[in-house]
Amino acid sequence: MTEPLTDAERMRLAAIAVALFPASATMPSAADTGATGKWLDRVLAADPLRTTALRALAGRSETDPWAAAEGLFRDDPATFEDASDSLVMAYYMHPGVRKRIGYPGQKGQGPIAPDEAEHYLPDELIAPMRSRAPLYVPTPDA
Amino acid sequence: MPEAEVADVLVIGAGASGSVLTARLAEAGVSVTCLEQGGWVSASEFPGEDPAFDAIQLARWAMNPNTRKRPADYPINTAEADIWPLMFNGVGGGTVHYAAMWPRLVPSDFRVRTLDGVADDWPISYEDLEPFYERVQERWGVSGMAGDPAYPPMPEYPMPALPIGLIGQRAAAGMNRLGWHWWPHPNAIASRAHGRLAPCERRGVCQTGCIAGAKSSTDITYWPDAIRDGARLITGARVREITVNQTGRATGAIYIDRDGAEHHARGRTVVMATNGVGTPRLLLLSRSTHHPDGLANSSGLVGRRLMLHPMVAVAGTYEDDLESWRGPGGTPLIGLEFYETDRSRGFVRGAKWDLYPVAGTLPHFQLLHGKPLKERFGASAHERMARMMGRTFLWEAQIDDLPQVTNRVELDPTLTDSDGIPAPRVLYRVHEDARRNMAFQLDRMREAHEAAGAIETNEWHWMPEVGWHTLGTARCGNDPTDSVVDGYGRSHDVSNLFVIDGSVFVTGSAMNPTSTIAAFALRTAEHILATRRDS
Ligand SMILES: Cc1cc2nc3c(=O)[nH]c(=O)nc-3n(C[C@H](O)[C@H](O)[C@H](O)COP(=O)(O)OP(=O)(O)OC[C@H]3O[C@@H](n4cnc5c(N)ncnc54)[C@H](O)[C@@H]3O)c2cc1C
Ligand code: SF4
Repeated sequence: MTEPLTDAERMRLAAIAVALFPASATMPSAADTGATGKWLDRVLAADPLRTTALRALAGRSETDPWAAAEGLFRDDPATFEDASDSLVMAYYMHPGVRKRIGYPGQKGQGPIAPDEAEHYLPDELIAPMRSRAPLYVPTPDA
Repeated sequence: MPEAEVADVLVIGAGASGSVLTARLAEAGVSVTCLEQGGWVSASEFPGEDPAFDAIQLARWAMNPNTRKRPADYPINTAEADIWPLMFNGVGGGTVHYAAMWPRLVPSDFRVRTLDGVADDWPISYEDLEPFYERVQERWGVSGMAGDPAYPPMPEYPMPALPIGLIGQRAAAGMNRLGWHWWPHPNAIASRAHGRLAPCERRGVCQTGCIAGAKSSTDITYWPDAIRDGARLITGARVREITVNQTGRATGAIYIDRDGAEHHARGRTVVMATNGVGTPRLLLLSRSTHHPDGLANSSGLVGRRLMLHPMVAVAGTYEDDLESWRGPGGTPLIGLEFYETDRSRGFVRGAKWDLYPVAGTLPHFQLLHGKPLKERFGASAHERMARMMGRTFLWEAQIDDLPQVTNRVELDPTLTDSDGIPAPRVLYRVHEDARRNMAFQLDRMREAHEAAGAIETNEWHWMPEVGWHTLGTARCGNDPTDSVVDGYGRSHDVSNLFVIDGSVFVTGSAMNPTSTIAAFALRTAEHILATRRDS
């Protein structure tokens, strides 16, 4: 069993998450979305083993959050990518963030309309392939 | 140990091949029992709609059984493997997880020795399998478009091809500029209602199970009919040994149920359908006086010549919104320009390309792994995501890695599954030729994106977790000293034992193999029926 993150580790991760995802003119910061709260909980519920890398990130000695991220990336890139992947997933799980980046989630788009395949595949697009000589090598002994 | 009544045919494994054969034999009135270590999976378990989908698909819905660790999974030692086998253990087998790409092999795949002077020819040809490819795709449920110039002529598919979408359009235009081959990819995904399949809703999460019931997995398209026709499917039945009698003929299988009790299931004919890792594992576990090196292994090739397709990919990012998160995944396009051998490229055989959407948010950042932090986080994080989301798709190249006897599945000396049965150990090194092939395809895929107008490309040049096609470990052939089974999958050593899964492949091709596995299994089923009638 992996020990859950402590409050101190969460606070430290929250600061690092803001360094990785600061507020911009159009996007909220990781703190604004509570990324390291309930969204990170969802990530860890899906995969508790991710705690180990997050703990390594939270435990860096550098006081500056960005320097802590840089430090782990330099010393142990695989652990950094693991930890930052968790923060990426947590940040982008927020519905408001998804909306702003134009990502609807992997939702059903309804059944395919009868003319939809043709719409994307006009004759002029596929014509060069239809007129191509066969590419395949036939069975030699057939 | 309880003894069951003797079935005409005992099938081990309810995945792709086991389903096809069992359904056909049951339909013909043969008594068939199938033993499957896993259980049924309900669509309500699939994680596609969960906001934590990205995380779940890397954990409890991972493709890698070593990560996923469901009760039905067995561990695989991959410490010495460049590529790790991926699979799903349950009713439907790998088809529950697969992307449902449905390309056939091309004729030259069956004649690599004759045409290229390397590896070996298959004992059967494209023409031998052709009628079975056609038959199987009706029941399986395949959407596609006939007329692909990379294949011999073929009739229309049961359903029209899926829409190629904006990403397909964009990629196709680039390929046309270069004069390179592409075609709408056949997929075992329903473009409209078909049998038990619902129409695809393009959720794009096909590889973690289709919530809509549009992707053909054999738990939907085969098993209900097989059971209706009298087949007996025993789930939670983990086989540990194929049994033989005093003359060395197969008599059945010993399996362990989920309460830990051992049973002996008996069959007049035994059929192995446990995939390219599970089949050699079981044959090697089944040592006896008659078969001291494992069952059907007088050639010494059981477990040898393992082939796992290496894969490389290039992501292209474009200026306009191409809704590149949209499914299916499944794939809209196939590209076979560099499939057939051209020795001037510095390697034999080639690669199959497919186009892939990017589902989820995390993969956009994973593409940037290893890059300096300031290029992907901090001030640049939002700009990066805005630039990539909906605007990024992949060309992937699946590589033909020819058989080597040193690439193999063997029994691990210490690792065991949850029932204490020795687990497999996989030793796999990608051949130098395949490495040159990978480098070549990466360059071409970059060019394809550039020709289509990509403003940025990022590469995946090495991916160990791509062993979704486990092939070659009980190869078919005519010579009993150099192959395990014949062209119908019948063991040279044990005449009432068949292998029908991906193990029988002589060369791996660069195609996704399930259409060929299914066609081979149907051909074997017909052979079993014909020989029963004759006798
Ligand atoms: C993520 C993913 C994506 C894929 N995408 C594609 C694709 O797009 N196109 C394509 O063609 N292929 C794809 N594949 C591969 C495809 O799934 C396989 O080719 C196919 O399922 C192999 O069929 P099979 O009959 O050889 O074995 P499987 O389908 O693997 O079935 C073997 C069955 O045997 C059972 N079994 C094993 N050992 C035992 C035992 N000891 N006792 C009892 N039962 C046992 C297993 O539980 C399993 O159910 C993909 C695979 C994965 C994992
Ligand atoms: S894209 Fe289609 S086949 Fe794939 S999961 Fe969605 S509905 Fe199912």
